[in-house]
Amino acid sequence: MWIFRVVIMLVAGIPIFSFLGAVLLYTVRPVGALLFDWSAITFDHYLSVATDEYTLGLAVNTFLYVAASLTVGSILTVTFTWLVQRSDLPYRHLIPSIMIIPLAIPGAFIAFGWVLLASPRTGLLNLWLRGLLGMSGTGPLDIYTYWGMVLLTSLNLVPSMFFMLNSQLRNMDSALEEAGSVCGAPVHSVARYITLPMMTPALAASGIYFLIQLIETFEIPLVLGLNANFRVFSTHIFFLARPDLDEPQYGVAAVFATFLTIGGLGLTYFYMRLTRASYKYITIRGQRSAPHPVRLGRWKVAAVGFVCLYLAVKVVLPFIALLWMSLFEIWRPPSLEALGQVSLKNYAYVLQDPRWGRAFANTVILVVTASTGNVLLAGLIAWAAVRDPSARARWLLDWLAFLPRSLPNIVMALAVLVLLLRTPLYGTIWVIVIAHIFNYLAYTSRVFISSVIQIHPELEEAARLSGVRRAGVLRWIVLPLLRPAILNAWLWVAAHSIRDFTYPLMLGTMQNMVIANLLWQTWIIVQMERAAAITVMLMGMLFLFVIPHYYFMRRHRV
Amino acid sequence: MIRVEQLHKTFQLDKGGVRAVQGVGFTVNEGEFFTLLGPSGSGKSTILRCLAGLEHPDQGEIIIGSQHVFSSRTKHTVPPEERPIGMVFQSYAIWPHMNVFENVAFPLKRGTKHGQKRLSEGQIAEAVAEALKKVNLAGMEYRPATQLSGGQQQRVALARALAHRPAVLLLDEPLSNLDAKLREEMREELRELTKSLNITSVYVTHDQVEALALSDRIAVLMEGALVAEGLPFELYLHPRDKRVADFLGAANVLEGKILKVEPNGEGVMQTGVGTLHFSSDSPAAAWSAQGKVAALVRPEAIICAAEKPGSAENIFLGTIQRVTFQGSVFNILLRINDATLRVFCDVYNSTLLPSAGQKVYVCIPREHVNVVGAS
Repeated sequence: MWIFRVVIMLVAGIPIFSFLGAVLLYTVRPVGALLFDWSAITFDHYLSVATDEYTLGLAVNTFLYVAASLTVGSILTVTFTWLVQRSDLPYRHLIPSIMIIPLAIPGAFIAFGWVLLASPRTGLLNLWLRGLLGMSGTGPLDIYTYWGMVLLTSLNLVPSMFFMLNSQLRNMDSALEEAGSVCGAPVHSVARYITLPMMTPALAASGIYFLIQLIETFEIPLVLGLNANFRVFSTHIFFLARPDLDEPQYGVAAVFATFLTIGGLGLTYFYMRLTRASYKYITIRGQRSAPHPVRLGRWKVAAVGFVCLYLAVKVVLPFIALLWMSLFEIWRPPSLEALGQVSLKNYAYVLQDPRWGRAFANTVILVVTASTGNVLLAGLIAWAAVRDPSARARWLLDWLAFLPRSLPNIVMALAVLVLLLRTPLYGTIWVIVIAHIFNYLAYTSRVFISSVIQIHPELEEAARLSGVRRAGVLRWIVLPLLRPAILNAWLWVAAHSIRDFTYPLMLGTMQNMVIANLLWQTWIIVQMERAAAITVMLMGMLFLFVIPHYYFMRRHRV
Repeated sequence: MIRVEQLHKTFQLDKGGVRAVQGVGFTVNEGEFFTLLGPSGSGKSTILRCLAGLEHPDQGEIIIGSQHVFSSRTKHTVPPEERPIGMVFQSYAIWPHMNVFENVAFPLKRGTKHGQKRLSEGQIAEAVAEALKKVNLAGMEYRPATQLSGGQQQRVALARALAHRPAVLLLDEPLSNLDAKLREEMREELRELTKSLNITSVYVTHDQVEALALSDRIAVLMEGALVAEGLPFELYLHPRDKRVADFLGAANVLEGKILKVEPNGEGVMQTGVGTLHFSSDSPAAAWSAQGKVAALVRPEAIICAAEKPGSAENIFLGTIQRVTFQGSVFNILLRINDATLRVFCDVYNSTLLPSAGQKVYVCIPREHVNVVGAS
């Protein structure tokens, strides 16, 4: 057992600590020096970051962007959750299913879609509004602004936050609230003194969780921030590490990454403390009575409108804009006459591009190997983290698996870049595979831990007493019982791996490019029509994973 | 068949605190039904898990049949998959991804306990059918495990444990998750089955009724130590320890002083209810030497009557403080002088209709008074 424990810890621990170490080392390496070049140590990078006025602006930008997105996103999500769990909104039980669609659509796609809709000069909505209002020139909408970024980011935050809060509110035993009512407390007192305090740890924990997620948000600030002249930490690190023309400034990027890591570790510490405490608040019971729904009355129309508007802005409008764009060789404003000139030439052009074949093949390799590797590693970590006889080893494994969550993606990407830059791995698809395996470890190990916990240890002991060795117990008992979790985790990683931009853009070269790279390259040279065609195809591939995942989750109630 | 010597096992609980087994030893004869009885935390399950090989003792020797399966002297341990045992778990541990047949066939298909040679499909099917017949589940082979009732899961677990014909059967509180009626039924079936197979069984329970009904011999454990061992009848009627008497059923404990002991074991002691005659089969001299002793009297051994009974000794007049009607008996709490006494008065064999405040006579037959040290 202890050999297995040590191997698992090393396999999970060595890469993660090497990543961290590489970032730290690069903060003190002179420009151009190698990772293990000990001849010179310099603190110039820290100094230049500390003395540059730009640093303060960057910090303020990031703070404003994250704070506003978290606030707007939370307000929208709490409204959604309340409507689903406590009101009589018509068809409210369908909302969790509908939310799967916006959940699956990555930030980059709505950013592209909204550029097509609301760029000041040629945005479809702007054309339409200008015609309607008799205006000329540009505007009235401009997506290339701070508020444009905040709007799209908060819309993007809603689905994942909704799923977290929704399940927490649903799992809360309403008998606890009813006990309050029976004691004679009016509805608002029950909400104030029972529901809210009980939900507080869960709310605070999800707030911290999404704070980390917002700090690492990359695609929306990248697509919109360039024109809006609004940089945040994540995009700044990207431009330092992968500039178009200049030499890469790994040292300065590593200094920023170090700050983000410290922040991330601090937030993770609070998150883990809060979630540990919350176990005693969230009480899960087999049988729950449905709480009495609040009647919306004449507000029902407004509530339905709110849901529809959200779906329109987040899903329908950007998708229509992308689809429309992709179907014309030369861009045309939407009209019935234009429909006659619809063609698939953009798609044909993309598919004939030699880069497409390479990107497609790489994407397939990435998705399959990253998901498989991640699931294997996460499964073994989880099994050891639950079954290890030593409480300290269990805690250490759990913490190790959660560590990548506290490193923002851009930091992990920079770490992988500087660590593997001079190795033969660099330039191959395997750098991205390794990065993805570790990046999604926090989520999948949680999935497996909760599944292994449900396997009573006596099920394994009974197999040993039937005359089967440890390996046989894993093969015949543990593996079959974990099958739903394995499928769930595999599809989840696949769906995230295929739509990720951070790692491919940070680690991509001409050789190991994936579809995300091709899309970005096409987009920045303003071949909007072809970029739209790639986006539509990528979205199609994404749904190949998302739809089975959704049906699978529903069947197994994972 | 089984010999356990000087077994020690200490471990830290997750919640803090320590649980320990301290130097437990016993032997179980071939074909015997042996029960480890004790409250939760007494270490009984730990001992069973050490026998199974699921727990590694800190110290001790375990011999099963001719095999020395654990020895701290020679640092030798046989893993659970190689010990000649079958086990039934408290949770039943029925694998939910297999049906009844696959569950019972698993030890024959994947295990090696039935011998080294691989069995043919036909042999396996035959062995499974036989095992299921023993537990009255014939014809249920293809029922999914998740669609079984608690009692059926229990039977499948038993069939699985017996499938490879082990020399020893270990049972870890197997009846505790069943409802009362079913538990009684299963208890009788289990006794019949183990006796008809003549298999050596070690049974762990905290339920004294179960232990008394099932066992050939009982070992009582308290706080990791073996405090009494014997036939069920003997342990119940003549407990040698206050805690054992208390654990095996209700008992009145009357503390007092020995006044006089005859060499034949008959004597008189002073207690809270008055002077009490007793006849003890224990070495009488030991009692007179001890200052303080206690008399243990089972509530059902006391006779209760409205009129003064004929016999002359151990008659006391008391006032009823509380009466609880329990179906077969009245559970009466009496005040006699300075002491309280609990009496179970048989509903059918009594002319008494007790009520609170009533004065009644009680008689404590001297042969039902057990004298033990009052430590």
